[in-house]
Amino acid sequence: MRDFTLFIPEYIAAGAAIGVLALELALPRLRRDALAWATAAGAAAWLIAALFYVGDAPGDFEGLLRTDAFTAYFRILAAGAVLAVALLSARYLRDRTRAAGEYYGLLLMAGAGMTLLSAARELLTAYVALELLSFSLYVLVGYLKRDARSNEASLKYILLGAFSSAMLLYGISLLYGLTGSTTYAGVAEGLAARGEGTDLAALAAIMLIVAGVGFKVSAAPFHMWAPDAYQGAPLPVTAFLATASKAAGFALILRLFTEALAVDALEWRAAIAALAAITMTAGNLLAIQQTNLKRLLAYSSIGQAGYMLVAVAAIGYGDAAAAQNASSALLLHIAGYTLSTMALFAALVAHYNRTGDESIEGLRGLSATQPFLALVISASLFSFAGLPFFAGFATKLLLFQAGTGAGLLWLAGLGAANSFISLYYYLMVMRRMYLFDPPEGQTRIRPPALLGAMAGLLLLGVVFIGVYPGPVFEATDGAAAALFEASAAAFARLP
Amino acid sequence: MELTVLVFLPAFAGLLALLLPADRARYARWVALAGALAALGLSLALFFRFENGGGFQFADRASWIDAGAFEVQYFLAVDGLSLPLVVLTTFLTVAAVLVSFSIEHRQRAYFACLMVLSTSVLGVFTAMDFLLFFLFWELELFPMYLLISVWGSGRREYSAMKFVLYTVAGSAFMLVAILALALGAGTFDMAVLGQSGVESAVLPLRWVFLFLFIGFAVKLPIVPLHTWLPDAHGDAPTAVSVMLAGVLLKMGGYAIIRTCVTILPGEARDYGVWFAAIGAASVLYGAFVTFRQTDVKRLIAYSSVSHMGLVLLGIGALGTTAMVGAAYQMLAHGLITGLLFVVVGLMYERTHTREISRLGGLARQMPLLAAGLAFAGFASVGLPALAGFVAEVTIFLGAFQAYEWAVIMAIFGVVLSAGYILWTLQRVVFGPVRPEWAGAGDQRHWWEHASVAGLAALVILLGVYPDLIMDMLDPAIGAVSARVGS
Amino acid sequence: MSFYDTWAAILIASIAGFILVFTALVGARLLGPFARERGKGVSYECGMLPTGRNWSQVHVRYYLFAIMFLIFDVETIFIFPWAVTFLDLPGFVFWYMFVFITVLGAGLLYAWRRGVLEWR
Repeated sequence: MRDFTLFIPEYIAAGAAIGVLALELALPRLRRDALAWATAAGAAAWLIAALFYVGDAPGDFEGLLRTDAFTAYFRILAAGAVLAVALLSARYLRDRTRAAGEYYGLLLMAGAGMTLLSAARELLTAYVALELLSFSLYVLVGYLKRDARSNEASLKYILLGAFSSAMLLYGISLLYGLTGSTTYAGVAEGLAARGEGTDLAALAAIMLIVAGVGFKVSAAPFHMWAPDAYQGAPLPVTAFLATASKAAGFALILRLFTEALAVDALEWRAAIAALAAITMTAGNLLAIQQTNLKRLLAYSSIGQAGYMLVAVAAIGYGDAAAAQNASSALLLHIAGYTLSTMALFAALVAHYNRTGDESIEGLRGLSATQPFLALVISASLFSFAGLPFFAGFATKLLLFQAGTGAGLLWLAGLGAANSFISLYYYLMVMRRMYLFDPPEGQTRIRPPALLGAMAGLLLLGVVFIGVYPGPVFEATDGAAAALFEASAAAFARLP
Repeated sequence: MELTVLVFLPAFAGLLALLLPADRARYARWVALAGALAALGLSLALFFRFENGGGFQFADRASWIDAGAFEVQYFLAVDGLSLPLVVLTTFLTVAAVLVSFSIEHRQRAYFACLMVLSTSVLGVFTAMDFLLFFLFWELELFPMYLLISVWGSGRREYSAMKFVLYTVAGSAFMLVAILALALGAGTFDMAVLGQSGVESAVLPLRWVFLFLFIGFAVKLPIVPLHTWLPDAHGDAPTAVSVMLAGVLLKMGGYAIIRTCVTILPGEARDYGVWFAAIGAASVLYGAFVTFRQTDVKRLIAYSSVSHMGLVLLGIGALGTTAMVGAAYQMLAHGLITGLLFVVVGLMYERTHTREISRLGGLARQMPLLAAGLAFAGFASVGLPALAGFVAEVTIFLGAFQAYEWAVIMAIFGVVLSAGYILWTLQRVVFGPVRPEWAGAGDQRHWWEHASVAGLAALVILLGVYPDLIMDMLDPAIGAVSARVGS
Repeated sequence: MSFYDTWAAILIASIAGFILVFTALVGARLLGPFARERGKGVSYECGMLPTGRNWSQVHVRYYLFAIMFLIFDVETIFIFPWAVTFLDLPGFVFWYMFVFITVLGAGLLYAWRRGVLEWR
């Protein structure tokens, strides 16, 4: 069926992107943050339109794209992330660049790419959506043209991103050669029916794909780009990288691994479990010695990717019910992690706009000068560490529970031990804020209204998920159910 | 409803204290005191309404996280084991607030932290859902970290960090065990788990048992895992030392009885002998190390290690009498050590030193405090008619049949404790009068009198009328030991 | 047809191509007059000796033009097969290409308005 109405929300996003570009073109003298408001308005319209699609019957576009609760979940996530990042960027970009139209346009396009990625059920469509997201991000990361670090970050990101895309493409072409199809359903069928002696080719294809998506979600040992890209990118873009881009990577993984590759779970599940173990350990251990806040968060987000991969490994090890549980837990963790990260970055952007300092040292005495920001930062970090009453606890608990349910108790235990390591460096950050005196001559000031309000709202969300995850869990459960409805055929064929 | 109100009342008072306007900051202590007193009154009301032998009472239950594969409840209840500990907590909270009346630095935040700490401990003692229990267990970290690192003395940040890292390391094991257990049994409900037990879990049950034990043993603490305790005690402000020694350590002993022994009785039978051995080793090791201490607070901290070893010994014997003794020892030690820390803290406020060698002859200069220290010291040694004596005798009587050798070792440790306490008293209270403390003054404010006198009165009450508590403990512990089958 | 029948034509064509090129090169070498001088060794033999270093920076604007050129160059890859099979395809395919070209045209317009096409 060729139903063009399925993606009206994304038309709005793309239209808003073009609108923002046209706006800057038509009115070059416009205040630069007006573009941020326009983008935010576009993203809000996108979000509202997305909400209208919640609960609709699953729609299918030529077998290439599928809209269901899973797509709706990521669509809302993408729209929300774009909205938040646009608001975060308003003052940041006004202070630092002269032309901002392309920045906001690309931001919207990246969000649209993320939604398409979560909807894609065909390898090349998924690839194109992924590249739409990645290309936008390559430019966004290097948007501060006069900043050498930003340039370096962009270059590294492009080179390694292109490398990973190539691997993904090799994997896709091998899969196509093996199965004669690029739709997920076709690939699953082809893999199930493939003849003797093709195991090696299947293994190579799957390993290439694992490596390719591993790059996208910054799983160790494919994580090398992340710290540099995170550090060099403009702060709001770092927030976007850490949340939306990572979530998009997992959207791809979920669709791909539950539908196309589920039949060959034997080939990849051990690799994913090992990847999860290495990623969370490496991320958390390397984070300990960082002095730059963005690098620290980069490594911490690598650690988070490790926790998320536990769920992916659980999909490989468990039966259909356990796999659905794991997917649901992963989606919930992504929601909690996104909220916490956004809250953290709202506070950091507010701090950075004032001081221009992004070292951990620069946070010292923040509890005396800006107690609210210090509170938000601490709460977000506690949420990352998975301490009770913050989102991270409830979501990690379900994540590890899902891992345990699939027989991966050792991974859950390793995850718990890693949370303990992470608490150490989070506490080191908090120590600077609460136990040190602020630099000479700084007195207490009010946080900026917009960022302060955002940080407060997001923090409420973090605490809400932590204390009462029920409603969000229902939503992710629905999304996971939709995911497995689409891939029921693939799982039915499991040995 | 009563328990919910009781648990969250201190935190609510703390929140109120935190929200006071800046120029009213000095009223924070009154807000905290009102909250602590209200909680004490409520807990006493529950104490007298409690029906001995009636199992779990005052239950508050609601579904909380219903996530398909498992359900987490909000479930609070008390039985004869936890209710005395709840009363102990509320009582020591009042004492802790009183001894903090002289705090000047960031008062609002201080009292908020203290009251949240109280809520978390109350939560641990009343939570009957394993995950809720774990939440309250972790909640206690935040206020403790801040209290030690902001209001402490000496190497306070190091000590605070060490405390947090030890506890979280233990918690990681605990969480794995809880998940394994809950997945095996299909529920987090501790009442159900304690009734039916668990046949199989994702892990071998003895690992689950071991992991749980490690998590609790850090808090108890037992000998190889105890090194955070002297640091935390030494550098914490007085009120936090009181809470730490008085109730936080008891969380470990309580949790071992409530979960390790009740839920996994088979494993408890197998490993009881290890409990007894580790307990006896803790008693002896703690006593020996105490002798070497030159810092009063560290000295009391190490004596705590020794006394908590007795608790583990009592639990390891698994009989009703021994476990009742262990529970009683937790209460007695909470009061006595609380009193010791209060007195030492008040002395520190006046002399600003905790070095034993620099103190001396205080009986002349601060007679009331010196008397308090002597009283608490005798109670700690186990003088008859005081709380510690009842507890120790009960433990020894109960455990003697099972582990003769361990009891003999422990009795030797108690003899040692008489040695170090008397020696300390001789060096601190008696001896030549030191001129530098001439103007330091004695305890003089009403809040100082109130906290010392209140604690001392309870120590005597528990010493002369143990049945008040024993009657409550007996049926609850009896149910546990019936499960173990001894 | 056997395997060799299928590929024989290609094999013959390759061999023939190789022989033709080889004979042309060898023939030129053998038959042509040959003079050796310095100017013949340099790259870009167009009458002038190159000046300066061969590592020189290219103005960044070249890249913009190169990218613009590439976009419209690659566009033909899509348009050509479309044009060849256009008559056999259903009508909406026309609109697909229309949208595609419109997007590209809008991009060009945007670049133009942003001053990318001016050489400053």
